[in-house]
Amino acid sequence: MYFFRIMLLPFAVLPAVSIADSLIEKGHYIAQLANCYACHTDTENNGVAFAGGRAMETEFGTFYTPNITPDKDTGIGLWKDQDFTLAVRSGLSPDGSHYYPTFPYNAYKNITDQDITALKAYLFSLKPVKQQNKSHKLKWYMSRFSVTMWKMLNNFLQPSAKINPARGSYILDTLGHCNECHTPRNSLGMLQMDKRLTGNESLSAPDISAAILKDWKTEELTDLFSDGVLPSGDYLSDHMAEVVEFSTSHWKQPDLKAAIHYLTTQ
Amino acid sequence: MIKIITLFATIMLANMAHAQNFNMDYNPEMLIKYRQDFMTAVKGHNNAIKAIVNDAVPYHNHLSLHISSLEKMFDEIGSLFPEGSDFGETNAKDTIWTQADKFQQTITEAKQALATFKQVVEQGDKEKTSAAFKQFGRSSCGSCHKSFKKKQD
Repeated sequence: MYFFRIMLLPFAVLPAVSIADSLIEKGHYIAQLANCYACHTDTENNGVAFAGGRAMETEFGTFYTPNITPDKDTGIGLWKDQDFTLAVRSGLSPDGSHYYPTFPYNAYKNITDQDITALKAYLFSLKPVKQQNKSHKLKWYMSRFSVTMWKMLNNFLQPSAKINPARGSYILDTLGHCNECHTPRNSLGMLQMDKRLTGNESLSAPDISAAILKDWKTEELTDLFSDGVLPSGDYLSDHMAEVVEFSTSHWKQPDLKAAIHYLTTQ
Repeated sequence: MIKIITLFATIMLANMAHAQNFNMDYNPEMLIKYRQDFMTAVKGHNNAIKAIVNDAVPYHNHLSLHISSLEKMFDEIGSLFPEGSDFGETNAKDTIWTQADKFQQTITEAKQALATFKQVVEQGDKEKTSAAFKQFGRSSCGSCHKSFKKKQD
C-alpha cells in the first residue's frame, strides 16, 4: 500500500508544478508586453537583467530605475502580493511613498488581476541579484511630496477614462504604455489625452496616431514591430529599437494583429 | 641642447595635433556627410536585397553583387567614425567612442550575420533566404542603430 502511494505521488505533484510553470511563462510574456526589461536593465553598461540602475534622462532630472529581482535586501524579495499590486497599479511603494511617474503606473492601473499575479510569479522566479538602487539626480523642486501633489492633481484633472475592452487597447495603452512617450505632455508633465499618440517632441517620439498610420500597409507595421524596420528601409534606433527587441518582436501573432488594428483605427 | 629639445617638442606637438584633428586636411562637415551617404548606400543595398528576396523585382542574379558590396562596406564602417568626429549634424551616439570595444564587437557581429545570410543565399532556398534576410537586418543594421544611433528629431 505504501509503495502504491509513492507511485502515485508524482501524479499529485505534477499538475501543481505545471500550473506554476505556466503562470511563470504567462508572467514572462506579460513582462515582455509591458517591456519591463528595457527600463529595469542597464543595457548600456551590460547590467544584469531586471537589476535596475538604468539612467533615464528627463527634463526633470535623471532617474535611475530600481532593482526588481527578488533579492530580499536590494530588490523586491520581501514584497507581498498586495505590495506588488499597489506599486504597479497605483505607484505606491510598500512604505507608502509615491513613485515618480517615470514608472508608468498611470498606464498599468488597468492591468488585470490575473496578469499582475503572473507578472509577480515571473519576477519572483528570477535569480535574486544584490544590487543597491541608485539615488535619482533631480531638479531642486522634485520630491516625493511634489509627486504626491502631482498624482492628486493628475487624478483630478484626468479621471480614469472608461476602459476600452479591445485587446489592442490593453496591449498598447495599458501594458505597452505607448502614451507615455508618444502622447504630448503639458507643462506639468501630464499627458494631453485629447492629443493621444500625436507625438512628443521633447522625447523625439513621433506621431503614431491613426491619422498618420492609416496610410501604412499592415505588412509595413508588422515589419516595424517584428524587425524594427521602417518602410524606407531604415532601422529604428535608440529606445524604440529596444522596445522592438525586448517587447514587440516577442508579441504573439493575434496580439500583433490586435495592436495593429487598434493603432490604425482608433 | 635647449634648441634640440624645443625642436623635438614642437615636432611631437605637431604630430599630436594632426592625430587628434583628423579634419585638419579635410572639410569636417563633408566627412560627416560622407559617412551619412555611405550609410545611405548600405541602406540602398539592403533595400535592393529585400526587393529581390521578396520577388518584387526580377534581379535574383544581383544578390551576390549586393552582398559582396555590403561585405566591402562593412569592412570600412569602423573607419568612418574616427575620434573627434562627433560634431555637427550627426546622429552618431557618444557610445561609439566611449564604448569603442562594444562598437567594434557590433561591427564584427554584423559581418558574421552577413556571412550567415550569404551562406543561406548560396543554398538557394527562397523561404529560408527570406527569413535569413530578416535575421541579418536585425543583427546588423538593427543592432548597431539600437546602441549607437540617436533618435532622429
